Amino acid sequence: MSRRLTRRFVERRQQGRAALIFYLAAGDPSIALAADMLHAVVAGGADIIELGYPFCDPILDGPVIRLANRRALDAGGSLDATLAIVRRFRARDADTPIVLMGYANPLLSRDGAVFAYIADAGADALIIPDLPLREAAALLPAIAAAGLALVPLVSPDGMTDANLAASPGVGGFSYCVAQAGPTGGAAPDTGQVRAAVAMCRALSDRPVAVGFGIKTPALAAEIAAVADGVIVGSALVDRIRAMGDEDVDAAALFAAIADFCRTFRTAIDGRS
Amino acid sequence: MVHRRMTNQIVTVPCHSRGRFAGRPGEAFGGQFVAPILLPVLDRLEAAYREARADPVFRATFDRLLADHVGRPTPLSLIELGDAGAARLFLKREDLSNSGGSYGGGVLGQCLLAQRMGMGAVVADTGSGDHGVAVAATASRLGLAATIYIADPAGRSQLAMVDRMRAFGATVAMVPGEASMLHHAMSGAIQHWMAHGADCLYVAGAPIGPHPYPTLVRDFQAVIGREARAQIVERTGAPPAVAIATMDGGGAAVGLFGALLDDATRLILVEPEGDGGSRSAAPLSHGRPGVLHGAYTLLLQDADGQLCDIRALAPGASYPAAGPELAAWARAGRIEVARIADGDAIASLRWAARHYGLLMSLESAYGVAHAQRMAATAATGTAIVCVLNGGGTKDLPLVERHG
Repeated sequence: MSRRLTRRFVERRQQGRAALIFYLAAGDPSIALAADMLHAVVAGGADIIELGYPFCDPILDGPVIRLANRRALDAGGSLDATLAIVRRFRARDADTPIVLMGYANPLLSRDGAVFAYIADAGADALIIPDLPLREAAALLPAIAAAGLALVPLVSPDGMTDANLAASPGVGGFSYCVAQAGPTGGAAPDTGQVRAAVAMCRALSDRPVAVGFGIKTPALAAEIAAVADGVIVGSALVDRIRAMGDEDVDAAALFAAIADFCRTFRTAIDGRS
Repeated sequence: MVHRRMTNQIVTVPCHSRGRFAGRPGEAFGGQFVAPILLPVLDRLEAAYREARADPVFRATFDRLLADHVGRPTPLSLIELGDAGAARLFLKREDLSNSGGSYGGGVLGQCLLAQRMGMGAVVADTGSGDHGVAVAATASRLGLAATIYIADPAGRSQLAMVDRMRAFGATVAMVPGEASMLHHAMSGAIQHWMAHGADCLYVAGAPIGPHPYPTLVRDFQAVIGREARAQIVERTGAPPAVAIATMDGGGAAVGLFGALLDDATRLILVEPEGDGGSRSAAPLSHGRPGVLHGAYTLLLQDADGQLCDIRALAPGASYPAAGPELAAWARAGRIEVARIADGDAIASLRWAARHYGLLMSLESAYGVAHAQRMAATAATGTAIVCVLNGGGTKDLPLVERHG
């Protein structure tokens, strides 16, 4: 439910901390380990999880996340498998919001019950980069009725379809895209990020989380000082890939991932 | 615990009305399913096109360069069938245009729009190489920088095409090879465009992608159909009884069919059926609705919505989706859809080369094979027009390997 997501931002704001959001692809490197991988990310300090259901053509993503989508598909990933992972995660964690991230086709090639099915599994919101608000408009009633929220993406040069941003079914937070081009690109300029966050705040009073190109704890800390949330994707995904190349058991993998996430948590909390 | 079962019925997606094409009742193909960063670019393009269409100077420049750069009008060739049938088979010879493919009109129109919008660069993807050559040549003529994305396996098997693009001054980017070659090249080009949208226009080779691309390509390519219709009327006194095009993206098909929609002409789009396995590139025959590269249209996809690997023999046909307007015409019953196997297309390509001194592209050969089949049983004198998308020199190694 989108309320779980809203509540998390409120709690963090009251604590004076920025929310730390990690992206990972559901089923990378394996479906069996996936729910425990999410728990490890939470143990490392994640406030919110952005969980990617895999797609064969992730057009807004750079090479790191494109390959993660490929690995997840090769491991048997799908929308159904992703929602099964969410159910398993929810059995042990009722508090950490899960924002499902993925491309339009796996949703729109299905029937209209898909949003209720997603909510029923325990996901809270949706990020769909190729579903802009002008196309989402017809689906927003079903998204709202399921208790979900579609997170609006705000690009560096402004927001098109701003007139639809207050529609029921749009919410959670504003996803401030720090730079043009695919995910995992060069580090964004913090001055530009500050301006983009200010623009998001002028557009709505939703929390603002910044993503794209945030690969180091130091940069995350700088962004956390001006935004309500920081989204880290490619850096974690690349760490998961690197661990997969080493021959470690599951416990060591989860410990290493939690440690990696904690470096971001510590940096953010030190500054905010 | 019993989970709700998913079915794979269609979500009717009645979205905003711009760039929508009506299929079956309640079905609307097209739209703008793109990252928000591209919306201002698409809105600017739509506005620029609306202004350009009303501007007599733009029209005159387009028409002049169709003659002086693209080499239009292209001829209409009558093939004497002899024992092979009583019909008259006319081939619209897009292979004889400047860049040797059917892309000239669409590419010229889009490049002129890029110029009009004050942009200095264009980016495109190419499957068989024909579209990339057309973009590189036109960009050179208009003083635009061109970047062309081609999938690595296609690029390596079509080196002569890559050399031509480079000769025209284009930068050629090879996309690491996987299946569905055109689709990966297109994703590469769109990513390039997303990062450079302020000064660089994406040039579509087919009526696919987000609005307004399907409409732009249809309108600029309509010169093919207008010419073909006038040429046939001049030679036979009437519009053709049948018009045939191959589904290789659909740029020639929308161009030919668009001018014949108000006639009684049977419009037939021929999809490569392959060898019955993964080589089938027939989204109109076997696809179901979904979203790819900005458009809601018919896609070859699995139950989870993942695109099928297309390994069509003809590189230009390796795209898992149909253009949204073609999908709408097919679902609304305005066009017929036929399928031809690889072996029949290759036989047609060899037949035309051996008996008529005419080397057509493998993509075109699927349409010609179907035209031959119809000609064999049609009434005496029935006029059939089939569009030749391009020349076949590039395909000879492929055809040879096929045995």
